[in-house]
Amino acid sequence: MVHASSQDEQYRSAAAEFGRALERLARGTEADPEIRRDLLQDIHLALWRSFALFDGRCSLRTWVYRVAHNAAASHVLQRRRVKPEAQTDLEALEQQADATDIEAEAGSRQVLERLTQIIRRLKPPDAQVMLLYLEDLDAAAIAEITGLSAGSVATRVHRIKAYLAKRFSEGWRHG
Amino acid sequence: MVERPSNDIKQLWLGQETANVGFTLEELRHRDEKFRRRVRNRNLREYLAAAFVVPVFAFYIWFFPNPLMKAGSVLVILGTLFVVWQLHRRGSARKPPLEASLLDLMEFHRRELARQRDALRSVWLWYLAPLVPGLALTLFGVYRQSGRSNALMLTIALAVLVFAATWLLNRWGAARLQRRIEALERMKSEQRDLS
Repeated sequence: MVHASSQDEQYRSAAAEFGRALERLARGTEADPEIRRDLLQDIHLALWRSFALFDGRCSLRTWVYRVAHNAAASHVLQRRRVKPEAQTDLEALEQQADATDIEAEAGSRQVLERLTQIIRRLKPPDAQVMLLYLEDLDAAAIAEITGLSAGSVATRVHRIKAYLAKRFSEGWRHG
Repeated sequence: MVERPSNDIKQLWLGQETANVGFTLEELRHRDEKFRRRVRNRNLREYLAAAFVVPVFAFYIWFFPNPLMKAGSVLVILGTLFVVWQLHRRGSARKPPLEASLLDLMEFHRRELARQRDALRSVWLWYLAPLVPGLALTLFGVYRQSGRSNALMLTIALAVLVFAATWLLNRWGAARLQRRIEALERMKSEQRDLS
């Protein structure tokens, strides 16, 4: 067990470094702003509690994302019990994107909103892979956090890139 | 063709406006305590319900003339005490342990689903079934005592229906969770085959 003050210090430092990423994770997980704030607090709570066990077995970044994504996954599981919502996987998403590029004329705010909605609809682990890819983590880091093999992550990332390219054309940047 | 737009989206994602919400340690400790209090209160409600049931059925033992109803009341009390013991024993298992938050996401997800599935599968056995023999015997005693009564038959039918519906819903929920666990396990074994 880590000494309490060390646990507090480690949490403060991690929250300062990854706070914005945790906020984006909460946004990609929960649509309701009030529940989202509670979720964000739960993620921070899980992180603070986790530092009682931090032993450097992996990098701080992997530790933070692992704890945070598990807390978010727990939230989704509990939320689905109360309010079941249809979830989809990457494959189904790719098929839906076949139609047309409806975002061509959209502004960046709308694109961001649409992207966030898509992430919230994705099943685990596809949602987490997409979120971690968007956070600019490489395949090896994503594999370590999700437990997927590096090959499986690479395949998913490739499909995500293709999907994003197809779904969101360059038009939005001028919108 | 593929790289540029997806990188632009990545930049858009990373550059989105965030409030940089921070929480003080005091706020986090307060939330931690709030969660513990919620679990304590939930357990307390269950214990209070038991504290109500036990004296009522103890009174029935003294009050009912029929030995079947007396025996049924004894069984209800024993069943209630068993449920309370189970609640106490399982209280700590209602939340994933701290160590679980450090697992990789796939394993964490699988274990969480399994935990929920097992809770649904077993709740019938430890939360409902222990009360069934006592209630059945008491109702049978009432039936023997008062003769055929439509109201009593309706009560029995309703009780059977509620128990059966609860059991079926739990079984259905557990089966759904089991399918999701199997899908995750399939994904893991496919990965092993590929690597």
